[in-house]
Amino acid sequence: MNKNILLFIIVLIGINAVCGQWLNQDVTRTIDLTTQISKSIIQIKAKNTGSDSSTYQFAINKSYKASLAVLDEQSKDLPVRFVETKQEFNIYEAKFNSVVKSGSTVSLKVALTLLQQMKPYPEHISQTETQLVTYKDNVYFSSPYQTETQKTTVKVPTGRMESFTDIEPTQSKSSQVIYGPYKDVKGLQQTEFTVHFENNSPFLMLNKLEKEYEVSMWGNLAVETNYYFEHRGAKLKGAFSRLDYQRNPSASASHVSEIKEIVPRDSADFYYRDQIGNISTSTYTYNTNSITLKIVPRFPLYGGWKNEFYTGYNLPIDKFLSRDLDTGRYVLNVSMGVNIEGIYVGDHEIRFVLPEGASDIEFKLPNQIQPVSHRFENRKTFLDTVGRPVLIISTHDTTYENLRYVQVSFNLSYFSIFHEALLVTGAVFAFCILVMILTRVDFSLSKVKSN
Amino acid sequence: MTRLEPYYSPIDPILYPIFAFLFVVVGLAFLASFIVAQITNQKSQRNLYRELTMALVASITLGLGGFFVFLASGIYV
Repeated sequence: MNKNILLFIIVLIGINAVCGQWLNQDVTRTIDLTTQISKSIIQIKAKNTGSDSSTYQFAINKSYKASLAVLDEQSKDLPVRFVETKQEFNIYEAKFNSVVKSGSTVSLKVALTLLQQMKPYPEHISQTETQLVTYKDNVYFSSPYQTETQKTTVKVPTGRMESFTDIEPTQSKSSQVIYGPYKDVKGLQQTEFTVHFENNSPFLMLNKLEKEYEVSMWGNLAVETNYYFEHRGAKLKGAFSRLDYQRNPSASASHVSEIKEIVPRDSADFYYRDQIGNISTSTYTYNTNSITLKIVPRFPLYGGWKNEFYTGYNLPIDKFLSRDLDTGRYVLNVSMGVNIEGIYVGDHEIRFVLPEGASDIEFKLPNQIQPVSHRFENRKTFLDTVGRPVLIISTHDTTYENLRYVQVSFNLSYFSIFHEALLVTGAVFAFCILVMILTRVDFSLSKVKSN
Repeated sequence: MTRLEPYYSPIDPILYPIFAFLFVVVGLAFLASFIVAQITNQKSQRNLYRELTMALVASITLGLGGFFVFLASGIYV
């Protein structure tokens, strides 16, 4: 008898662990496939069926490259962390600002972007063909909890849709496929759907992005960005015809001939170079709150082609560096990546070259699910004695994080700011002393007899 | 809640070229007078304190001049 009760309790705990303590009452997903990344907006109404809790879990297929942001009812960003791998899913956990009482409901908005989930099909196209891609995803909202009702709307860029998987009930309108509503779907259930459609948006990604900020306490923040672009669209079949391209550049819809980056309004002294040297085909135009930097690479980019170059500009320090009045620490607040529409980054590296003498360096990245590592280096440039500390932060698979801000704080003594000026002064003084010594030393070979 | 205040450079960057010019001109003049005094003065006329003062004034002005030349030319140290 006692044994049976114990067994019953163990089974109960087991069930509880599998089902969790939340129930998704209603989930509405909108998957936007108009660009190269799939942007899902997921509206969740969830009920706490267990005890009081301050966490809610999400599941993402572990083969997907994803970027996730969770917003609560007040549109506040919630911290998300990786918990474990269950079956073919990675489980992430969002933490609420306050404890959610048992039996109460919460509304959540999740922005989920999937990278490289759209694959060009056919894989090779000629210069003037349009690009077709396939997109695969779970037809159900991936969640460790049970979902009562759910509906998914898939938006494609044009009306041209070759095919889509039919999972009853499915409807298709001009440029939309609507899956659902599905009732009572168990947690961690996966049924894949495929949509095959035309997508000519540039499939341009950054294999690697290196962004460097150099802080000078004398009023300047130098920004340099190294781009390693790759066009991940359908590969170009046959040879590239410059004649066809010049005659009608718009005929090949999926190629990339220019890149537009939005930079802060106060940027100045732009440069755009690569390994060969300066490239003169860049322009910038002023907008109300920003500057659009138009970069025209040396050659148009077709599927499978790569290009790398770097740009740089200067910013006034007072817009980005602040001083904490309580602790006296300096806080730098700068954007994490590049503001290029629809871009995503493979390896993302941010470097901060801080003034000589900076100590107790700390940083804070926006909430994200990808692991972050950091290391320190030392760099010697003009008028340095012991070298400047360089903080290098690495992460990967970032999209919307590029638009967000990273904070770096450090301590710096007031003396360090004037250190370089004293160094030059000291050098001139040493020269004067040398002159004084030289005039005092007698270099004559024979002694001159004094009269 | 942390109280933050924007950090401003000790000297407005607009002034760097003017400062560079003024300090370099004045500094070179002081250095020239120092070297002239060093070479022409006889041994009997030497005064270590006077020489050191001249050297100090010349090095401060020319040192700041050189420093502002760095900043004005875009090498933000």
